[in-house]
Amino acid sequence: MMKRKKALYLLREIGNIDDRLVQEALLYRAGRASPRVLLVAACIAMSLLLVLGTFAVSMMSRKGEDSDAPQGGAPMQDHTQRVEALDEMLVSSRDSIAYTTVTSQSELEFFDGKAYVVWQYADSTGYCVSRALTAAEADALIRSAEGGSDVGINSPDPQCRVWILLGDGTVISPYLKSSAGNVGIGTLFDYDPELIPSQSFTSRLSDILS
Amino acid sequence: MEDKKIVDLYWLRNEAAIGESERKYGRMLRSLSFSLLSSHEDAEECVNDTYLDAWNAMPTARPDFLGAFLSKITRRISIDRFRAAHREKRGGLDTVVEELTDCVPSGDSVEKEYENGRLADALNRFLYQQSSEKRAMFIRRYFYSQSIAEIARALTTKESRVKVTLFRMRDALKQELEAQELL
Repeated sequence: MMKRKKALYLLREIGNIDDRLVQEALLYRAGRASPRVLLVAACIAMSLLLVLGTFAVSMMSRKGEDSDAPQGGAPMQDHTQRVEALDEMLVSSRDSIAYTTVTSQSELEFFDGKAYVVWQYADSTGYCVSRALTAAEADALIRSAEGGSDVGINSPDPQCRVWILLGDGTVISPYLKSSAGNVGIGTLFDYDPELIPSQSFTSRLSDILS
Repeated sequence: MEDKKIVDLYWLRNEAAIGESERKYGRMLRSLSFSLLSSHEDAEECVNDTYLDAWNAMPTARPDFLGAFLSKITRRISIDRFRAAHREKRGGLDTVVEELTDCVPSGDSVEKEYENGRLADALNRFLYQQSSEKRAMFIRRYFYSQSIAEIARALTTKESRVKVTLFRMRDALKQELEAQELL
């Protein structure tokens, strides 16, 4: 019992350590990757490029075959009228939207005072990062993130995980309800989706990334 | 708004200081309090109390790092609330407290050392002797109450490495406190 009481005192006293240390702990980022890790990353990137290149060539040749086909087939689906889910938008426009990629969280800026959207495709271990948002864009995006609808019982798992970095260390996700327990500090967190992000969120993000 | 400008608002007794603090740090403070108390309602009250404490502290305080300053207040208030409520229910702090019992030898009273600030000095000395990475692990775990998994992700390392590092740091801290006859 005495040890527990002491531990509580110690815990409380840890709250009196230097502000500089408290700040540093959140700002600290792991050191750069070793040359060996970089070599492995480069190999993976080359393999991905090869796969994507092969896929692109096969799609182009298929498109050529389709254009030779007679015009009496089924009508083309009008994708512009379809309400897209956030992850569908990110997946379908993967090659056309603007973003940078990082291989680990340590390369992300959590505390630079700027907001970013970060997402991770299910088939990738890296992270995609939007450009820095303006204050107005960040405000509008966060507001529209609050308009999501509850996840249904049979909803498929999203193909991406998405977070918003607010620039002061806090991290939220459009897939989670707004609450204190759904906020990360200086880290991207795993989550099970609670919300389907609103169409307005998807549209805004699409505009930002275009 | 920059921290310095928000602090200036506190010094000018301008109530916008609280709104700006909430806008910039509200989410972080709620998250910190929630990680300690596991209660949204309690976390909300602790954050509101934080702004009141900050309002009373400035002036005379002029913190260089407002986020750290407010975090400390939230943390202190949350721990006080945890201790007050502990007879009735158990909150998210239990695991962290259990881990910290590794650092303290059994023995006499602790209030005196706690009150005269020697313990805080010893903790600062101990932490400054560690590498930045070790300090980050320790403070994220025992100041911010982040989980091992969260720390591992944030620092891009394995959970097992975080656990082992924290275990060794607790042991080293215990020896340090014993050597200085603290706790």
